[in-house]
Amino acid sequence: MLQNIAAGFAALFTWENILFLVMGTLVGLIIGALPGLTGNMAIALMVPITYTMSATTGLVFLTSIYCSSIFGGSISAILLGIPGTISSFATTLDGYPMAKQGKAGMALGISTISSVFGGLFSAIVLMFLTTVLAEFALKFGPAEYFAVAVLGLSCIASIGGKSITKGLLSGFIGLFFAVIGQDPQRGTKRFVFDIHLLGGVTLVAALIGIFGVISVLKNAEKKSKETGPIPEVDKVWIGWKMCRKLLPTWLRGSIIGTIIGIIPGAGTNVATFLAYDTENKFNRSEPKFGEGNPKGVAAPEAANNGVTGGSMVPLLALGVPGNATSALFLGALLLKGLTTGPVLFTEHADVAYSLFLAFFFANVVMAPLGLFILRYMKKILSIPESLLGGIILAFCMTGVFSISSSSFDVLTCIFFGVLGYAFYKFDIPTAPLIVCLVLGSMAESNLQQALVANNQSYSFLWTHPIALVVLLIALVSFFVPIISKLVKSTRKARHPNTVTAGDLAEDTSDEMDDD
Amino acid sequence: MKKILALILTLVLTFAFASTALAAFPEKEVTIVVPFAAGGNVDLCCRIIADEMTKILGQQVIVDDRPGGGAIIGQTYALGQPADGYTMLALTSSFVTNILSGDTDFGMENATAIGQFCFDPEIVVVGVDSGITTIDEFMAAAKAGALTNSTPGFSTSHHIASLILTETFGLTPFAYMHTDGSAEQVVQLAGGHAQCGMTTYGGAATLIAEGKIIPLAVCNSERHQALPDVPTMAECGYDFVYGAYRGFAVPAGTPEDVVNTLSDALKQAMESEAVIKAFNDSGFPIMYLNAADYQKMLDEDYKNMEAIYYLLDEE
Repeated sequence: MLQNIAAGFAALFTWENILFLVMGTLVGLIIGALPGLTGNMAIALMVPITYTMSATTGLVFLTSIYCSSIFGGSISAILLGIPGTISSFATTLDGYPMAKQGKAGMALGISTISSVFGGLFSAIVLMFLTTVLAEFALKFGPAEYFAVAVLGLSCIASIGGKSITKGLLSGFIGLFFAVIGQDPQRGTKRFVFDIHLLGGVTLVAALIGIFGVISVLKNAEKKSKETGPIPEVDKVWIGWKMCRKLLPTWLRGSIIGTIIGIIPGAGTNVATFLAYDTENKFNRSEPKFGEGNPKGVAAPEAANNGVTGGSMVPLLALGVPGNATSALFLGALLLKGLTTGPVLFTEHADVAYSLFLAFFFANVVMAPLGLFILRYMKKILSIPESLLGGIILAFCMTGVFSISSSSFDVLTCIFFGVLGYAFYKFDIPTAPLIVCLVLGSMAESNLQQALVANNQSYSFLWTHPIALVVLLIALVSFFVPIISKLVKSTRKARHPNTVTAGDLAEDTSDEMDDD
Repeated sequence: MKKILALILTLVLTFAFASTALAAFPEKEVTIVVPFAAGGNVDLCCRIIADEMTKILGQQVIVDDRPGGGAIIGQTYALGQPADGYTMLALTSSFVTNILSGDTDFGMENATAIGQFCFDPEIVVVGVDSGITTIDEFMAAAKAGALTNSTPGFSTSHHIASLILTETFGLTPFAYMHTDGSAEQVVQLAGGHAQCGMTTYGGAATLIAEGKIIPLAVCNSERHQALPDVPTMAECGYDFVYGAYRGFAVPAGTPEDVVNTLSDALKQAMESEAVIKAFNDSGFPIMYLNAADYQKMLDEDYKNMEAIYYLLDEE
């Protein structure tokens, strides 16, 4: 093992590799930060460039793009309130409010350090536990996938805002949009009035519509009334005290990210939702989640970079890519004549271990580079919002168009922008819609598959131990926030005059919301 | 005077156009439209070939991915371009099934074949937990009752292969579990969540090597070079050839000499060392067919698919 690591070091540390490591990190950061452009896209375009490189250099380059693009997504999520990819969607929920409160620097700093922590954690797991964990991935049948999807969906109870009804309404609308497209098991076309909808609604287009278009509309509306002061941005470095405070959050986020990342197909999206939701439930500190809590940025960012290493586990051990990005890595490996699986560790140990180390050092390089670039990037906020709006819209539309050079995606984006604006006007939260849109079809497809495997009997719900446990956690996760909201509101109704300090903030906003 | 002027002008223009037509094709870059996502198997094949064809044609050959709508979007786009040979479509099995689905504005007559470069035969596989070890045992079990069959999605070539297999040998229809992509499919088989499936070698290579997925027979006229111990279906007494084919086509009406130039360039590319090595390393079996043979193959496939298409509609 030590010998292999030493061989990996030797293979990794050449001038060429270090150059590509830094370059890849920069490319990833910038691509990730632009809404609509994803690391996946960047890697797909870079794979042909790696044909001419040595196997190690090629993998180092792709790895650094992968890691930093996931982190880069948090930049636009925090500064502009637009998640460039679904994996940075949860970061928006607290990152953007923090930026609005003049803590943009702090939010970006937290996102940097959290991403690095999650990435390093998963790199270490990848290095030492790949073969053990790969067996875990095989345990996931349709029943287990269904349970994980339901667990993800259960988040809507706590991120659904103050009104249970409005949260559920948003969730159901999301599930409706998730139904559009071909029935995954029977092939029946559902609401496919245009051929572009055959594969369902383009998630990224919808996401950018809801967050991008709406943030521009909101600003336009506000600007026509008043011009607020430009929010202050503070330091990017968050200090050791904050690091210590966030350590438990990082650990939980990284573990969730790495484990979920291992399950092929479930990937990044579920991991960030779950990490955010878990922290939300553990959280006792102020301000509340959704109002700019640092932990709300730390958890999903640690998780989505945790996924990077996790998603490579099934690829390296089983030859099965965990998500779309690791599928591109598979292509790059194959083109070099390398086979995946245990053979890679025995016959090409230097390549395998330099890949592990590349994951490690890509994250190490990310911290100084990220903190350095962000010092300048946060200046975006000093552009007056009225001017920024147009630029944001142009970037959003270009990004959406670039997904598959389709003008239909642009229309989808505009449609969801208008829908999001309507939600905003009626004070309906948009987060449940996104969660349901992303996870709805995964839940549906796997439920149907599980039923086929079990002769149309629902007994799999309790005969598969993993599925059973996950489903029970999902039940608790769904009903606890709802019950506690109900209890609070009845208590309030009974004792209208006795208000605890913690409830105070909520009470005032409740009145605004409900009236 | 005006008439003479007009005549001269017409003549000049005619010659001008004639000379452009005579100029050697290609004069500018050629685009290959891939109707699938970047990084997928078809995209990967096309990028390897595009590099080599660039050298052969002396003009840039660019890959343009236009995924979505079960490949219909990219196919419609490519066939809607001018029939001048500057836009080629990466044409796969889905072209035929899409036409049969009735969702397309184009038909078989709208595409002219350039050539085939890859034929990836289907392999009948079972999970190690299924207890099945030979194709005969598999056939007996599949006749006796419904086996669970994992596919990478509804109406994918692996799903269609299973449907045709059922139809050809009178098997009990499989209980299908349509996952979301080939990664999930092979995990379902290796983890024992589904009993059998049809797949191509590339996606399952590692799990086959590890003995978690057992290949029973190859649906091709010859054995798979990566699996020399696995018999063909015909060797076991089951006459059955089916696989995913990949090739190029251009919009119908493209001049014949342009078609020939592209077809020859493809042939040269597929014989080049660089392409052979890259294809072998990636596990894509090379099988070149010229324009006429590929067209014939497509027309035959259309006939075969037409006969079994009701199976897809029924479900």
